[in-house]
Amino acid sequence: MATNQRRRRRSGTGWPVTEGVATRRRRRRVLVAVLVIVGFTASGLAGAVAYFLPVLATSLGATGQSVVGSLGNRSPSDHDPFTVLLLGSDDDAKFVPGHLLTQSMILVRVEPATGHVTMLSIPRDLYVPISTGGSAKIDTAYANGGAATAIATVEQDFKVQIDHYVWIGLRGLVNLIDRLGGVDVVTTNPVLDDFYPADLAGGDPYAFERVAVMPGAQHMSGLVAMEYVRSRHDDLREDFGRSERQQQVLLALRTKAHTVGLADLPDIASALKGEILTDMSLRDVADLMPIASGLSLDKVARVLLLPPYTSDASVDGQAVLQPDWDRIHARVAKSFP
Amino acid sequence: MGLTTVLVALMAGFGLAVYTGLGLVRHLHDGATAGAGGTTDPVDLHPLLRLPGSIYLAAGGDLLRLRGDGVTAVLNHDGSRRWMQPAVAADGSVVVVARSAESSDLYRSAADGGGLQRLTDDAAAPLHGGSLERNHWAFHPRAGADGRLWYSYDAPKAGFRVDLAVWSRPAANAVATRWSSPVGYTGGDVEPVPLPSGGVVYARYVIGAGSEIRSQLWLQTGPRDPGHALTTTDDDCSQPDLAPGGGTLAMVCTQGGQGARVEVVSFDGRTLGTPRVLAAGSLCAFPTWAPDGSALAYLAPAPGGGDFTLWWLAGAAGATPSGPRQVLEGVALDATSRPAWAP
Repeated sequence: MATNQRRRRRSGTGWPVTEGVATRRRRRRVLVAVLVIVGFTASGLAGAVAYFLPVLATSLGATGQSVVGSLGNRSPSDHDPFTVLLLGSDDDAKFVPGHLLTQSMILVRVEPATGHVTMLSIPRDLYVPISTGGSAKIDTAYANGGAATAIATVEQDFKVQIDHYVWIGLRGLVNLIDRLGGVDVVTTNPVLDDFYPADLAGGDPYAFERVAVMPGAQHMSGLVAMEYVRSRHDDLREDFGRSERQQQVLLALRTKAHTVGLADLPDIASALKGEILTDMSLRDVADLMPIASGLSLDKVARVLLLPPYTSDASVDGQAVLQPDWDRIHARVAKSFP
Repeated sequence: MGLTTVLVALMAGFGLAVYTGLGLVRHLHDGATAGAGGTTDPVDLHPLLRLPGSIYLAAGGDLLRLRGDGVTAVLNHDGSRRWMQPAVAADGSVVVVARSAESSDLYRSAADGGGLQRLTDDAAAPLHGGSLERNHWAFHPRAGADGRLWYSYDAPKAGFRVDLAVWSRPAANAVATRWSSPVGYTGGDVEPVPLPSGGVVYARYVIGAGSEIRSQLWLQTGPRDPGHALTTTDDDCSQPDLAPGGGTLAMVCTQGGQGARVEVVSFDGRTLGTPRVLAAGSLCAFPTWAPDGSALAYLAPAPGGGDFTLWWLAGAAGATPSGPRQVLEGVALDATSRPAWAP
């Protein structure tokens, strides 16, 4: 009791002397605790940042690409329909970086509210007016002005508003599919090619190799998927057959979107380094993932510009596809309003 | 000072743990989703069901044999050969495809993989400047009850055209006969199934009404017979297998889409009856009859969309077949290789 009374003696400040010391000690303990928490948090964040560094580096390098021209403003996060131009290029040693032809051009319209998707493959040999002047095969647009020219050419010729673009290189697609654990596809037919470019293995980029992709349902590695979508010699429908196969693999990839976790991103980013470019922001990409994984195949419309939309022709000795713009514009207006 | 040092060390350790933990999460996730071509060591595989006889399967370039409660590797792949598409002959021997980078050959082995004998020689000798097109593909072997060997083979070829055709050859005679004339630039005619009558049913790739490539089951009674379609292009059916007795056919049909279902249908030697769907809602491949015709085995992804594995349908030929049951887990089977079921 006497001890308690002594502890209750007040100092000149009005606070018990022993309580002031205790308060200071308590404050010090709180401060130390805060410092420890902050230290652990900072350390954990540093670990996470170190882990996700490849994502940040690739994201900064690949996303948010500026495009000279007028891209639409609609983004996946707006829940309004939007249109993306997908571009795929051979980017092996045969080609000059910065002047790559597009082997694949696919216009994709997504309606987030209904889940409807329309994919329209643009034949690479389509002979069109290029936005920078003159006429040529449409695969040269990207080579002569990058994404801006490719987008402007498609917008001008097809009378569509493109909101975003994504470009991916050969190795990027192979690596992406492998990092996602492969894709499951029902192939349309045996795809056999004695003159398939052997340009991914290094060595002579002009060499050929034989490929044989079996028919039916199967699990494809990145390399086999690439052979399936790229081979064109033994297909009666030539580039149209290839376009159909590209659409199949693209749709198969969508089912993988839900299997990608946050922790997978660094590996995927490393796999895609320099092999993917897009104007979309990181937020757009993040918003796109659930939309992609939620797509139902029965709501996907796939369009190929087969005859009578196009017809074989020859211009200056080169085989081209001549567009029937009236028919194409009517089809595009219906699918890409 | 001592406590401060410990705390700083703990903080650094925590940061490292976060980094490592994220990597571990990815590793576990990779294991759960199973990448392309990952195959568990056969000795670690134990079937979920005990099926009669032996079932030969291809996985990761190896030929596996499922028998009783265990799985063994019958043939292992090496740097130049990957084994696929096994078929069992009447004498119990196994005919199998050895696929190399530029060509493939047929081999025959004993049931346990011993006594390997090469049946074709499809690799071109190296030439000055290379001549890839002199190589050939041989796929989808089948051994007829009469000992005749059936397969699909990419000859004749011309320029860019490489289409498989149905070929056969008597076991004792090395001279092969081409049976079918494939539609050019479609991939051709594949998966021959010899009939007791001497004819053959196979999957033929054709151009459909909308310029799409579709497959049809096709029947030919002789090498010069143009044959006729058993299914429509809209059905898009392939991968036929004839039940013992020849009265029922199993096949995969896609209707031109990205789903593949198992169907069975009666077969009178000339036409098909009305098909019944036995398995759907998945990517089914290569329905294969049990030696006694009582059940079907087929390939489809594991639940949750994993690798292709083996499934079993009891009573497949009857009016009330049971639902599909998974036979194996933890193995990535080659979905382009039909299982071969021996007694």
